[in-house]
Amino acid sequence: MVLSIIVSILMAIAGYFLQIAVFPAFGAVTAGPSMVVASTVSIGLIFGPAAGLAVGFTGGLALDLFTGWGLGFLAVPMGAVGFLLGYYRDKVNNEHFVYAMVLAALAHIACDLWALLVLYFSRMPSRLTFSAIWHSLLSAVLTASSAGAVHLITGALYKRAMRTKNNSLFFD
Amino acid sequence: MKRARIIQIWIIFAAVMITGIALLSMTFAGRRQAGISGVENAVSSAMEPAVSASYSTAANIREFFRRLFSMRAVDQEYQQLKQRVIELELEHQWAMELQRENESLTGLLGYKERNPEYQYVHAEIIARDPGSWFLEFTINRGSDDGIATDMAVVSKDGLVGRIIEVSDKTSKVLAMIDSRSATASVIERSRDMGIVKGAVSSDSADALVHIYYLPIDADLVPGDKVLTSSQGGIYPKGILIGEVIEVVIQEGKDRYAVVRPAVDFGHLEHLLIITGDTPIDELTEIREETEQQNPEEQEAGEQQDDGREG
Repeated sequence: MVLSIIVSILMAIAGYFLQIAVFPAFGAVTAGPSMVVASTVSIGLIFGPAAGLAVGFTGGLALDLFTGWGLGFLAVPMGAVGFLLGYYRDKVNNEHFVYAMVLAALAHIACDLWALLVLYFSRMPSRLTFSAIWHSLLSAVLTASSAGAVHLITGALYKRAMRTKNNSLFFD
Repeated sequence: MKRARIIQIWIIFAAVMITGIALLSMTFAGRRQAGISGVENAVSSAMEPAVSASYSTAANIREFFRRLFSMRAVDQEYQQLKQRVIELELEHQWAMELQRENESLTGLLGYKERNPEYQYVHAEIIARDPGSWFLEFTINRGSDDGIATDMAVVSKDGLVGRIIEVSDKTSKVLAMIDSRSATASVIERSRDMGIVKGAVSSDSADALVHIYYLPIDADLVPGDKVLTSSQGGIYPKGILIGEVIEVVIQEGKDRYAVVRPAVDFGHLEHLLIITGDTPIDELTEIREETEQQNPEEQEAGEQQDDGREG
């Protein structure tokens, strides 16, 4: 459990800073990968529903605070994604990075649809334009690519930590 | 997984989702009323240190990566600017060279306008002997341009020397400061005659000449202007040679004066060769035109000429 929390927190923090600080440094890229979604998907698949929910919800909340969309705007869908993927991880080959990629792309699109619905029902200004759809799809593809890498790294870290745990008194 | 555990997890999930949706609802409801909701305000206040730290860290990381990725562009821009600096330096040097040439040619033109009684051919120095001074040098005009030996060579400041050798395209000039040179001269103020002899060799520290064969009662003081007198038969009358800087009186010997030439013999480029006199009708025409353009200047020029002829 301790191991899950440490790896989850580290991956979530890394993904968060990558998304809000590193990718915007590429000034020309208008659509960037959602690293928080990628981390949530990967952590949910590897560590289970509790870790997925925690990372997704807190990561989404941090993005809400940072972007100013409103509290819960991204926290709710990301928490749900993390939880559901963690809960149903046994239904898929959760260690294979291709699944993580596909699920991350779907999760990204689901989050965008959720955002659109929230804006629509809250009567906030929103427009479903071709540009917005294209932006969303491109971001989903980039998120999927990132999720593959994140899943491989998270999986490797987890396996290494598990080996250490089996040979160490620290985790006993 | 045990049933109780499953129920517990779903309850936690439902609670988190309900909390999130409640937060979202309150946020949007508050925004519609007051721009920012109370919940959002409270959470933001509570989270302010964490958000500030996060924002600051993000800004630092973003700046680091921005600099990292812009290094190539910066380097490219630096190379372009460096190249541009080199080009501008060359252009600047070229412009300065043109300006110097322009000044030099303007000076020669002024000399021609002030002395319209002679006809001139413009020449440039194309070769010279090594050393600090222009003692003997080659110009880019020869017999094809009407140049002949013993023609006087002047610059915008005064007498330079005479032609000693002529080929078709080039000529050699012997400077009047050379020790082989002698020039019949006259003191402008007192009209005392003398011979200016060159006293400069290639390793001399200063380009000074001496006037010898002065009358016993010669009246000359430092600052007197020395002009050509035309008595030697080579140089036309009234060309400025230089200025007396010292009068030397030796016991039992003739006195002589040290003259600093008007021309800078360390930096010569453009010259005029006096090829002959301007025909009288042409000269009259030129003087009339000049008089019409600037009567005061013409009057002053005539007074100066009168003074020279004394």
